[in-house]
Parts: sequence; C-alpha cells; structure tokens
Amino acid sequence: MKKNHDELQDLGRFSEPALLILISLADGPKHGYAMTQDIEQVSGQKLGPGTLYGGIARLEARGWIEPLPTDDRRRPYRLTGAGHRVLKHRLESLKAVAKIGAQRLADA
Amino acid sequence: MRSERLARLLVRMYPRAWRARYEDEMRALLAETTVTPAVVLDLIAGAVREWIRAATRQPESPVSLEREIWRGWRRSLVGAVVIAAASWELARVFFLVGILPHDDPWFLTVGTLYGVTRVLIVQVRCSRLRNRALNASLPPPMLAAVGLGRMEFWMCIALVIVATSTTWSNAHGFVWWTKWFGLWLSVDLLRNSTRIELARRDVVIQLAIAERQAGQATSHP
Repeated sequence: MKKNHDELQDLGRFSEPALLILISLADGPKHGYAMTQDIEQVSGQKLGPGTLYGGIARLEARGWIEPLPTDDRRRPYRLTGAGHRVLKHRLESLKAVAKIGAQRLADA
Repeated sequence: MRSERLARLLVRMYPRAWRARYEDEMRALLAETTVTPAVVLDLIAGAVREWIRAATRQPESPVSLEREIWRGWRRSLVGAVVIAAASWELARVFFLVGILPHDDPWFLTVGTLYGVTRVLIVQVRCSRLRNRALNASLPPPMLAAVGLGRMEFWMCIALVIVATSTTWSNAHGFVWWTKWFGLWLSVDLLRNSTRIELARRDVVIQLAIAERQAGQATSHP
C-alpha cells in the first residue's frame, strides 16, 4: 500500500490532477473533453488542457492508463490493472486520513 | 476564432515528440473548449513543463553509458573552443564600435574563461553524478548532452564567420545582432543550468531511494 501511495505522490504537482483523471476513468473509458466535464462535475475543478494532458502523459508513461483506438480525433483512455490498484490504494489512504480528521474535529 | 488560432499556436510550443503523440487530441479538446486567458496560461505553463520533462527524463531505449560520457566530453570541448572564439569575436566587435576601450584585455579573458569553465564544470559535475549512479547499479540518469545545443553551436559558427568578414565587422548595424546574441547566450545558460539542476535533483533522489532499498535488503536478508 505504501509503495503505490508514494508512486502517485511522485507525480509532484500532477498528483492531484492525476488522481482526478484516475477517478474519472474509474467508471469507464473517456476522451479528454469528457474527462474535463466529468472532473468538473465531480470535484468542481476545471482542468485546463495543458494540465489535463500533462497528467494523461504521466499516467500513460507509468502504465496506469492506456489509450484506445481514436474516435475521429478524440482518443479515449481507460484504466489499466495497475492504475486500478494505485487508485484503490490512494483512495483508501485518503479515507483513513479523512476519518482521523473528522474524529479530531469531533473531539475538539 | 482568433482565440482558437491562438490556442493552436500555443500547442505548437510543445516539444515535437509530445506533439506527435498528443497534438491531434489536444486540438480536438480545444475545439470544444472556450479559450479564456486562464486556458492560454495553462497551455503556456504546460508547454514549459513538457520541455523540462523532455530535457530531464531518462531515454526509453537502452544506451551505452561509456559512449554517452565520451560524447558529452567531446561536445563540451568543442563547445568550449567555439564559445571562446565567439567571445573573442564579440569583444572585437565591441572594440570596433567603441563600446570597449582598445586597451582592456579583461573582456577577452573573461569571455574565454567563461566559455571554457562553463562546459568543463558542467561536464565534470555530470560525470561524477553518472559514476555515483553507476556504482549504485542504477540506469544512466542523465544522458542528455550538456555541452552546446545544436542551434547554439551553429549560431556561434555563424557569428565567427560573419564577424571575421571585414565588410560586416565595420558596419554599425552589426551591433543589434551582437546584443541579441549576448542575450541569447544568457538565456541558453539559464536553460542549461535549469536542466542540469533538475537532473541533479533527480539523481540525488534516485540515489537516496537506492541506498534506502540497499539498507532494507541488508537489514532483512
């Protein structure tokens, strides 16, 4: 668990956009525009094209997402098995942190 | 429409290898996106990040470490000679147009020393990092040549050729070109320093990871 968590953190300033992209692809393949719409709906953040494709390039380089054949000029991406594992571990880690935070707030 | 053209233009700022892979997709995305100043800034920042990433990431195909080290040394030595020659020619033009007094040898010396020390320091520093990485059984961390870039090399050659031509050397209109070249060399120095610093940090991180893993392997046989 620790190893995968560090891997996502290794993306530096891209770790948050990368997490949002992985979450967006968790329910099926999407192309760039669909990802930005989905991410805006889910998190309220609008990823710019530079940030989105910066994240996609890094995730693809690590083998966490993979491209599918193009539909016109749009290319959909999907999660790989490794990407699924990394996302799962990251979400579990965030859940644990959120739980501790909520507990401390309640105790204060 | 103008903003779409601007966005398309900004995509051209990305590295060639990146564009070969993602340009069509990004253009498709931009066609469906309202191009605001925030999008323009995001594209510019993205292009800068991709250039840094392209300059500092490890090569995908296996390469010979020895060959790369020697190639780096060769390029650096050629670079030192060319920068020194360009500095002398630049100083000569400054003398001709009256910017520098004729009895001031320091500019020539500083220019030459700058060229030679710059490439040698960079090369020695990189060789030491490579050797440390090699001892730690890591893949070569930084194989991008850190001497002169191809464009910088040809610009220096062009400067030497043009400056040695008698007709051009006496022309006052030549000053703008030398100023531009000086600025360009400074920017290139900054670019190379950034690239080297980023690569150095990458090596330090990799070495720390390798040492930690080695320590864990020793404590848990």
